[in-house]
Amino acid sequence: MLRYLLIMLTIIAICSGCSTLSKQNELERVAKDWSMTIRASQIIPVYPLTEDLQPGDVFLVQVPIDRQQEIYKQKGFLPLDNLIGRVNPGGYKGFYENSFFTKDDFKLPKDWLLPNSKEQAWLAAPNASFPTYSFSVKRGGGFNLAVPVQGVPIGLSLMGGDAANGTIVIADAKTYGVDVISLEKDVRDWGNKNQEFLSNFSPSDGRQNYIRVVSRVYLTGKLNVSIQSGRSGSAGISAGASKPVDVLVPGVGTDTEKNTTEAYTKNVSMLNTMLEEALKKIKISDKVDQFMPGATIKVVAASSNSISLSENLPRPVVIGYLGFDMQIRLGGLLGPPIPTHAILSREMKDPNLSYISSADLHRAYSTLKKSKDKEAEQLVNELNRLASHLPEKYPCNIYGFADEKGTLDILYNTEKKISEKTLDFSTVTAYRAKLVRSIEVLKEAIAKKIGMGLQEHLKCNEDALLALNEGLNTNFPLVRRAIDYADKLKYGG
Amino acid sequence: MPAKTKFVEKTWFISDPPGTNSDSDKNSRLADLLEGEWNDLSIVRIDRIEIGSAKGWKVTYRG
Repeated sequence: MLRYLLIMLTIIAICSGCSTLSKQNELERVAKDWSMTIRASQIIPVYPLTEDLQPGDVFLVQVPIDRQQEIYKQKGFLPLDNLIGRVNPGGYKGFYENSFFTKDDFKLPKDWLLPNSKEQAWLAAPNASFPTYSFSVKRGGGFNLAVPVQGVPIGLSLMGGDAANGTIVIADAKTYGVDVISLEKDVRDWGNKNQEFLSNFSPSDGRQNYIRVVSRVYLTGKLNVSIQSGRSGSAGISAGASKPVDVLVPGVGTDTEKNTTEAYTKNVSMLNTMLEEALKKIKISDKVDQFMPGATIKVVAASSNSISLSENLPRPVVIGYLGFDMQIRLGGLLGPPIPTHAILSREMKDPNLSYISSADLHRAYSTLKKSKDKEAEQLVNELNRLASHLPEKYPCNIYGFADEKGTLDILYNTEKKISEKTLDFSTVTAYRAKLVRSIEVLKEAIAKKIGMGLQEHLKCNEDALLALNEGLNTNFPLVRRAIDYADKLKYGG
Repeated sequence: MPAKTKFVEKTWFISDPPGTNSDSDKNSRLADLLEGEWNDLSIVRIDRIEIGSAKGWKVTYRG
């Protein structure tokens, strides 16, 4: 008897575990699907939704890039849990002064978040638009949904179904942000003031830490939810207990009043009254009513097998963001900015030199060259061998502005040797920097329509830079080692 | 006695990126240029230019 009882208990325990696991999987799947919709718009999703995220927020990222990519792929979003600083970007004015700013002493996000009493929050901010999110759920497996939208479980309850398909439209979306150049400068100033703190996260034992800086956020204030019962094929036939939505089903009999618009409106109103009571509506002021969790939900349309709800948030919440990452180097110094998207979408699986400036490379090389250390000497020799990636002569004309008036000039033509001296790593960095500058100048000249046939030269410059970077990238571990060792010589550690 | 070599002097102006306002920003910009595209030039002179909206560093070098 005891043996039988034990077997029964084991089976119950296993089944209960299966159910929990299944629910967990379902919740994760829906959370991922939601996040994928946001990601489809090239935005990194925020989960759960929050109002308290803004450009200039600095997070500490201690997860290695490969692991981050894995988590992002599995979950669809990245947890933002280590907020270490909030930089107030100084570049808003320059960024928005010719578009969205209406007065000189504008402060973001305050002036959009809490405008004067007559205006709605975020009304003046730039608009954004998102694709529709579709989902399908069934009772018992994540029925309450991991989708951070209340209207979904409410709609499902009203439908009373076991399964449903639906769509969520992210309406009234807003966005604001600031340019990376000015924000990077602000973050560097912040980094200098907090260098001691950041030095605690310097690379050690092959582990690299980063800071993640938010440069743009996307908000929404309204979500429209439409749900269609999985039993839509059974029109007119119902079994079991009647659903609340049945009150809206026009009868088949002779009672024409039920079929009128008036009756329909009255019934929708009844549903809304029922919702208000069910959700324990509270009054937060004479003008504003709100449901307990923060949002107001209204039924806007209903039929026997579908329902549409509109969920208004008292103030918009952030659903996604854009940002960049910066390496925390030895001594708490910050590396160059790398777009977070590039890291997460595996473009940065093999970190490359494109994100390291020629000046930084040259600085590291000079530090090593000045040192009498054996390892530094060896690194210098190895770096010098990278000069083999240089062509003998300039493969294309190198352009620059000769003066402040913007006179376009060919600084080096294809007859000119890369260097008259022995080629070393210093020549590599100078050549690379010249190509980068020439590309920048050519792009500017083309945009301003200065000179003729510059597109061809631009392409040649870009190809030459790509070829050089590809050559150098094959030796990325050496260059990384050289930079880290130079930092160590300079700052200790 | 070798014949005198004739050096041609050239100029190269590089404007500041947006947000370069303080003296330290300007100096740091110059340091980047000297470590970057100008690191192998035979520099004769460096000028700071600030005329209207044209702001940046101008180098005179032997080409």
